[in-house]
Amino acid sequence: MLACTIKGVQNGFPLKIQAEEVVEREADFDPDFLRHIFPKLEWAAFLEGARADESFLKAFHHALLEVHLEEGALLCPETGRAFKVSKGIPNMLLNEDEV
Amino acid sequence: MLEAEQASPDAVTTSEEMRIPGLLLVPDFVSPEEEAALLAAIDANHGGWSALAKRRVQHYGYRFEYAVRGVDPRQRAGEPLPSWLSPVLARIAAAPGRLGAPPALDQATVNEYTPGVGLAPHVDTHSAFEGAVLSLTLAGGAAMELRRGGERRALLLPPRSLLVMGGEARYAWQHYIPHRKSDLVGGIPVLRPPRRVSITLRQVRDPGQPCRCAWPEQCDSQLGAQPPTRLQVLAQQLQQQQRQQEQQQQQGQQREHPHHLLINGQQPGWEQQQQEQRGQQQQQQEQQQEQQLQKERIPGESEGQRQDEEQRQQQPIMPVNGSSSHSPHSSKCADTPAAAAAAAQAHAPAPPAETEGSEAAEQLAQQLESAYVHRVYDAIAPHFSSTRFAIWPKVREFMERLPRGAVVADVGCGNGKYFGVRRDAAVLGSDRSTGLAAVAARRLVPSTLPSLYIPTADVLVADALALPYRGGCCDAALCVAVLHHISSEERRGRLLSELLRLLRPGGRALVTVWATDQEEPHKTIAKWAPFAGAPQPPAPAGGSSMVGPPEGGRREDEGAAAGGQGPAGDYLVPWHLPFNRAGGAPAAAAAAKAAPHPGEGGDAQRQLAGAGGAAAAPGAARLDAAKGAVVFQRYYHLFERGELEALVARVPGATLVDSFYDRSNWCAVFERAAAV
Repeated sequence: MLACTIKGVQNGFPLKIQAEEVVEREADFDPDFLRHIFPKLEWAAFLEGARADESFLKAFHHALLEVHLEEGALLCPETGRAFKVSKGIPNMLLNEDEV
Repeated sequence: MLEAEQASPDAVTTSEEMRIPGLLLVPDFVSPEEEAALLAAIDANHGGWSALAKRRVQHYGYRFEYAVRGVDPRQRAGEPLPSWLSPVLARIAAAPGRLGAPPALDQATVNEYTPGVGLAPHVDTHSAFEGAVLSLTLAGGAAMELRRGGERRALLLPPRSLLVMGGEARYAWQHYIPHRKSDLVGGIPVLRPPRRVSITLRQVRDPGQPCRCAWPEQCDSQLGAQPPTRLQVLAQQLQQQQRQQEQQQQQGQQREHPHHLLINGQQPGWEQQQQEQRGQQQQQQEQQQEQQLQKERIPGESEGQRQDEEQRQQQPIMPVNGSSSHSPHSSKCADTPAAAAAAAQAHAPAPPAETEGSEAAEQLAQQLESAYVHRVYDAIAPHFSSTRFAIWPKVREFMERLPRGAVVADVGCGNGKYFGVRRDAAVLGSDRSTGLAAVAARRLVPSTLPSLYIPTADVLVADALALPYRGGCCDAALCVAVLHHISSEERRGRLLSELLRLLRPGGRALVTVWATDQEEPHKTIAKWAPFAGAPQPPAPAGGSSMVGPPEGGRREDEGAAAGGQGPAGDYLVPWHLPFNRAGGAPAAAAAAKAAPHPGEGGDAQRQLAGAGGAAAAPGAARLDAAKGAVVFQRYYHLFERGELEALVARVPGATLVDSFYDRSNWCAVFERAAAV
């Protein structure tokens, strides 16, 4: 969220991090807070900071590569059309009238 | 003979399934941490390696002498087994019944294998080692085969597993690891990892206590009947040659037949020579088999070879020269490809006068591909997959040039054999065939495929003409042996546009298709049935005529394509699915369930299935009881020289980067123009 405010600076965000000492402080786990902060995050900037963080990478790895939708469906946000996922394989074939 | 049947047995993943007394596989015998420590200790011993022909070895306790396949029991190789092996030895000692291991393991051999390197068939010398032989697999897995008589069985050795070979498994069965780069596990070809290290643990036999096992025919202690080692054979050969030269010099004749003496029964010691020759022949045969296995299975070329034999007897030989009088439909069978083509046309609704021609063509193309491509691949998926494991060098090259962490769409991924070619890349695999997508997906599930290596990839079922990915999300696209299954030129162009859409600016696609120029036309194209049922391009503008006439004289070896009618280059290419193939029956059942031609009841199909013990047929499949196979027909559009490039040229935003001919295929690499 922090930005540089020197007069005339156009590109004052994100600030790069120059770390000399990093500490971890435990915080209460608040899912509601996390959900509300999602849309406010500048993801590109967040990733910049998170890229080097091992525990973030592990969580990212887990979410990206280890969590699989085995049975269920993927829904189109516009039409609501459900693409079935069976045995981990989404079937994205269209019906004749959808082509 | 089908190549697939000569290939190795499908590897199982538990020793119980091997059904060989004395064989025990203990998975996860050491932890990943212990594995790392063992590998570090091995690698720290730089000076300990000695080089064999293809692999490196280290010996501990006693030095193993390959020339005599044993050790000199009086000579320890310096010291007892090193301390870093102690945890392993202690765990064996603490296991119930010591896992059947001998009481005082005192010899260890470390083997390092790279992909393509294996282990020759052998029984560990009875007179040299006492009791069971143990082998710990580290770093990467491989399938080990065991054979006895005509029996061959294969077992996957996953990393960190311990294999115990005792009793019959140790004394009567030969074990070996085929020299190749991938193994067939549960029906899927799986790439070998970059490195496999094994530690073989044995107990040296007291020379005063010869082996008294129950398999004297394999026992050198009891019969002394051990086949000569390769070194022994080589030495004998050298001696022989020297003898021959001497004799020839004495006789001063027959110099032009240097092998004469080898097969001359009057020579002293001929029996022995013959035996040696036999040994050599056997070795050569094994080598040939291995080479056969390693040979690239390139679409077109090898398929033609494989099916060569069967087709010769099943199909009318097509005229090789287009000008020769071509007598189509002369065959008595109603189910020849030519008839099938006609049938497909009959089943396709005739283009109604009021609809636009292009729409009707689109419909016809879809129906054709459904019957002659999609349903066929669904039905033959497991068998097809088991014949497709070689990584095509040109595809590997393409993959190797990609940036680190590249995202690659593999459109028409088939059994997923290109997943994991680049370990740092992520592959988005898609296939129109549900059956093939299911085979590919099995590579991604550790529980069905114990951990040789799980590639980073996803699989879904999709139409290549409507790929379900955001535009610009891929660094590269692969489309290997897919475009030739698309049955109209307009649709082929659309597929290329779809590939381009996926690419980021600067991203590249590799497309390969079968060529009308087959390297061995007499084995391939000359036997395929020309097909006239595909949508015709509008006469004046399009068609293959846009390519321009091929260079002079080339039409002559184009085989039956040049019949004069129909779009040149369209063929039906058979696939033979043996009844007895693993996967054949389920495939057949799937085929039987698939909707038959409109108007036909499913009953006839089910009857067929009952009668043949196997398949009923989508599309134009038919039973061939004599060959014990179901014959499926697949639609192909073979590409002429320049045709693929011309197709790319018509895709807006695509820049042709490279095009070449390789092993009966035309290939093109094109790039999405960088954003301006």
